[in-house]
Amino acid sequence: MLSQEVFDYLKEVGCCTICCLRFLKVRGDEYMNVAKTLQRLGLKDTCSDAENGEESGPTSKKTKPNVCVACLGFFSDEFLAKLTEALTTHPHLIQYECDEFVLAISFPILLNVRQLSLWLALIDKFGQMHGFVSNKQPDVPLKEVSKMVISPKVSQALGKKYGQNGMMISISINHADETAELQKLTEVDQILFKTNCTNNKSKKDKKGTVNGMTRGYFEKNFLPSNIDVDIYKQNIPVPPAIPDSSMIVENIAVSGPTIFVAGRYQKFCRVLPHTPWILNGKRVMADSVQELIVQSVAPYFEVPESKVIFSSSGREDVDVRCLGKGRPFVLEIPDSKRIILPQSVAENMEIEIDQTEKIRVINLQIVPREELVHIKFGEEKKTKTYRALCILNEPATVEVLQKLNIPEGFEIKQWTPIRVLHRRPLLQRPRRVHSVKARVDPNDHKILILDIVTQAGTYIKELVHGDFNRTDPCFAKLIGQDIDIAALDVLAVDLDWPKDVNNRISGQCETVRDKNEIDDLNKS
Amino acid sequence: MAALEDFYFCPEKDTAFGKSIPPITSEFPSTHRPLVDRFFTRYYLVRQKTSEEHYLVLFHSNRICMVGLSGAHPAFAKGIEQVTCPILKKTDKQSTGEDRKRSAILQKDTTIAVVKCCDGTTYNVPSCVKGKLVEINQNVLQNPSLLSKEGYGYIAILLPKIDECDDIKASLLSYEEYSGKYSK
Ligand SMILES: [Zn+2]
Repeated sequence: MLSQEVFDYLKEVGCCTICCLRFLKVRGDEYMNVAKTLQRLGLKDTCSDAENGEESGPTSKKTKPNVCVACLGFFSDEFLAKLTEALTTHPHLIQYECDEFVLAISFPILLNVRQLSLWLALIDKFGQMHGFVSNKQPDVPLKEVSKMVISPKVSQALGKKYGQNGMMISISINHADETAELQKLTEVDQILFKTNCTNNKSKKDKKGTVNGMTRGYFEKNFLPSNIDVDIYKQNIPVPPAIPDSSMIVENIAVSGPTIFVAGRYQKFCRVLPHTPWILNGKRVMADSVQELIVQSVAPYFEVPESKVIFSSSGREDVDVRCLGKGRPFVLEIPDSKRIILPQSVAENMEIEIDQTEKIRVINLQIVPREELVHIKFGEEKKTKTYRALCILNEPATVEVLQKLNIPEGFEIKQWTPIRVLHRRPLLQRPRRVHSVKARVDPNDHKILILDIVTQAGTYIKELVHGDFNRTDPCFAKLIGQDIDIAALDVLAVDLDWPKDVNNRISGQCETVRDKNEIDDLNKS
Repeated sequence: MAALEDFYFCPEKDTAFGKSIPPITSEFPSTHRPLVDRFFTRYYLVRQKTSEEHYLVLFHSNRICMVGLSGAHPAFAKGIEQVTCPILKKTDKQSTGEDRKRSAILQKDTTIAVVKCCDGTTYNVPSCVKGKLVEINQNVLQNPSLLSKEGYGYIAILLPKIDECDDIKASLLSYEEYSGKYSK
């Protein structure tokens, strides 16, 4: 059997069983159970028995084999033990309360050299018969097989599942001979290439490989068809020599997944900006909605507050309250040490935020990345409900109130308000006012309370007074007299996301005005 | 017939932190100042041409400047027939601020508009402020009677450079200086 010949040869030059299978182009989950795969392919591991000069039996398998010439011991039990040991005792890895992981392994370039030497040896020995040709990679890449062989073992050792949303474990693997062998390669680099290849190869200088070898440069140029095989063989052993030592784990770096914590906030304070307000390098106000939320949430995930990104479904001005069910927001938390947020912890966060007495947060929860579309898109279609406290120069008449009760709504055109014109471009935007409900203060008939439902993005203050005719029509125009705005509240942001969760499990929960109530308010 | 009582506001009961949330009506400021007073500072430019011309600059706290005529401008006494804007033709753009990088930078004495009075006199309205031209008020071009209404009567909106604002303010008359010198 032809495969057996190749298998025996690879064993003879010092390949481990997994590497033998790689050069026999065995793929995928066949590596999960190597003994079974050997059986299925009808391969017999005769070589190692003969070498050891012993009879076939259970004892022979215990003899310590050489370090594999192809993977430098990467697939050996010995190395795997070293790796799992390094992972399980890693000082940072254990900080992550995360049950999924992704592996990124970086290998020494030496492995590419070894692959090339074996490639050349196989072409010499078997040539076309077994499909070993100079323009086709001879093996299944080590990285691919590593996923099948190493990842399950790491999974077992860490007690975590392999998953794309998990923590990232980056492992750098190196070998004692890396520097010396690459040095040898760099020396022959000048004389190794066939003349017709030197043109292609000249790209090298641009790639900045002067101080050594890079993987990219090696993979691009060091191909059996490009090099003078005789010169290569004079300088570098073909087949590769048996190494003295196995791979070493050089470094393990861990970074947590990015998680998203969503909720709704209410704002009760008229001197609180949405995000830090900094003017000419100085803070105008000490706090912001963003900071009050982040400072209570970030510590649990063991992430610096400055790394957390806050976004919300719109925003209100510094002097505007946000009542009702509040405004949806989301925190993007990178390199999180935890991926779950127990309700009791969420409750403590919410209670801690309550202590500020400036804002209040409810429905705090972890949400999947996919749900961010709710907050990031479709802003134009959302509606917002406001309550404006307005003042007239003269006491309101029934006629004025009737003119300002507009259940059917109307369209407006709004130029960028003067108050933001220093930082926003001058544009005229069409906006829809869905409805207006007007009432009067029983104690002072100059004071009106207007409940306004509008398309998101409408500037309410300007809708009231008109911004010197730059919002048209405005309430002043509709009633034919001056009207100004003294205070504004947001009553509802019509985004039903994230879902309701009652974190106030220890009974500190307060009733929040029901959304239906607000709807009634708007309709009546 | 509806009565005013039908529109009486009754605040909902709402609580937070165990306390009731004050209704919006309880938040009414004891002194409510008009829009212009709340956000703008008035500056004046008086220049002597064939007669004494009075101009008003409303300087917003965000440094946006609205430039127009002061009530003491002689054009009002004569009656204003027409306002035209020669720089609009030059830039051939209705509003110049849409592409702020390309919008014109005006000097203090650049003419932004020509006011023509009923008796045939014309006044060249100066920019008063060195800065980028953001907007020309189309409303006053169509309806010159707006010119006398403070705020509404702005002719142009300009945006000066941050570090030139102090010099610009110093080059104009403050409200105190102006009223001390010119009040009747
Ligand atoms: Zn191997």
